[in-house]
Amino acid sequence: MKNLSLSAGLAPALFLLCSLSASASTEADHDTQRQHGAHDHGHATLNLVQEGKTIQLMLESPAVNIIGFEHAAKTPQEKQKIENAIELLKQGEKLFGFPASAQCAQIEVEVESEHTELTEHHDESKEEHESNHDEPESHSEFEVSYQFVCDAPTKLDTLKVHFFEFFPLTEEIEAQLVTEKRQFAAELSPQSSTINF
Amino acid sequence: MAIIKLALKSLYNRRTTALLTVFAIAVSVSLLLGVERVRTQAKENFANTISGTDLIIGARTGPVQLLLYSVFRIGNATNNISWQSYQDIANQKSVKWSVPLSLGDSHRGYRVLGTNTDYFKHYQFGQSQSLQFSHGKPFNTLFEAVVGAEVAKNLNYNIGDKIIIAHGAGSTSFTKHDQMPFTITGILAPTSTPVDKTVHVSLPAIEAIHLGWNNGAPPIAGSVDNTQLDIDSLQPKVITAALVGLSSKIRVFQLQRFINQYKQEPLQAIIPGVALHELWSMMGVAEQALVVISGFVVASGLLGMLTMILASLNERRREMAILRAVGARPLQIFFLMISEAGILALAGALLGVIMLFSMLLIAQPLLQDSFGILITVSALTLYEWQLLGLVLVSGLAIGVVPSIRAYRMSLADGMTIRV
Repeated sequence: MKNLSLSAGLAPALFLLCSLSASASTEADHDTQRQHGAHDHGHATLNLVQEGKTIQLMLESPAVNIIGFEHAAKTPQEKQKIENAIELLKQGEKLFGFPASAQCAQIEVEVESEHTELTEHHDESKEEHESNHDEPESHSEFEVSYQFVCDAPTKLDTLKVHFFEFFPLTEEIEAQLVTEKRQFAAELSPQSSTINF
Repeated sequence: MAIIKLALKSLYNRRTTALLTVFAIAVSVSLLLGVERVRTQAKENFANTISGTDLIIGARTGPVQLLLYSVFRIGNATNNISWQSYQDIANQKSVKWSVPLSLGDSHRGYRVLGTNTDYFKHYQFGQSQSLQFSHGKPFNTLFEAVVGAEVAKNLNYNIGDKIIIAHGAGSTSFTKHDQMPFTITGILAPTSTPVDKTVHVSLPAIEAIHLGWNNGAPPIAGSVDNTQLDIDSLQPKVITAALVGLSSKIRVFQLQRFINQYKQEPLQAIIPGVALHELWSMMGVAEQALVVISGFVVASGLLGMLTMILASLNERRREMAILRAVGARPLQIFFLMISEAGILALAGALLGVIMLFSMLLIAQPLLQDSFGILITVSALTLYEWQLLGLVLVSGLAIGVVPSIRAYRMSLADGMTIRV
């Protein structure tokens, strides 16, 4: 008796499933992609990889942590704010405190964001940019990649992340670290912002 | 020195209660140290299970879950990944080597892993140790298998034995692929990792044992001709996960991002060490709870000692009074009581350590058999010494209470005759 009522209840659900999968197969033809990364205000991620003398850092953060808003800059003040932030983000030696004995120097930096196009290169790649964003985005992010060269990588035992001091809207940075010795993770906060290798 | 001798003799006179007290402290100390040891060693064991692998690829779930089912064989995959996507990733420029893993079948309760011979080359554990064969060699043809050390030991398998692989992961699986027995060609050396509990076969073999299974029903006898099967025609369509090694570590996050944003299939790439870290932070609360509980057990053991000494004070009013009468100073009475507490705590700690080591010796094979956790019986670590020291100091501190009482009351109390 119980089984009977159960299967009766299942029938509409099964029907729904079938129709769903049918519509899914037609959707697939359009090759649309509906994947979205997480976007969590106050929360940033930092990836660090070290091999030999090379150290690469990749910082990803919602724009609100850095400039306090995520919409496209409208007023001159907002534009100024973005320019200042980008200027600061490019100074990796200010944001990341490597031990002096490791003799690290930044050799490359790249800031990528929905906001950079608006302030920096107005003409180039503008079209491409627009085609990427045919629908208005309510969220925006900053992606910064740094490359450092350390002459004495064995001396690299700690890394002090000063990010919180410059961008106080950031509450937490989740760090993934891959070095020649090991792989590990660290949760950084304004109270504990040092990574121990 | 004389005072300590006196304390020892006095304790000897009350040996039953004293011994019970020592025993209570010993049990609590061995529990404290045991929890600490199992905690740290289990962690170490987990961390030592996989090394040298830059990324693990699987269906998009959580990093911890992917790590658990692909490496530790705990739980099951939520989804498989297609062979095509795997090939696409394996052919990326930054990928140096990759090993496909296919799980889901079992042999008498042990997991069967479909893979290729690269697994024996690239899988590393501990401090970059590679897998070693204690007997035989890797599988070569379709119906050959390599078993882990524990499988071979517990089921008494030798090279050349024929085994049958069951569908599904249960130990009492009804549907056995008994048309196709496998020959054991190799036995791996013990690793103290889940590899010991695994039967390894080739990927085409996993496909082959499922040939002829229609709609979940086992094949009709004779419908699949075993002799006609060959490795090349049995290309797998899906795998469970894959291990990936890179030519340069610098590329690890780029490849991880590429895989996590792979358009054709929801895939996920995890860095084993990072996922392990996530697992620890999840288990951290339970771990701390265990430590706190064993701490409280030690406290209750020491409180028992306090009760015993305080209770004995009443009986020993005369003893104290006589000591005072023959010239002992109050301070000496104080030290007598303190050294009594110290002796009990020290004896308890010593017995506790002895109990810990004997328990470890007994539990070691059991833990390894049922949980795959290897607890090495090694000397006390600095932290364990510190814990022991803490027990001793707290024992002495607790001893202060009855000592002060004895110090203040000994003469008057003992001399006054109460009716």
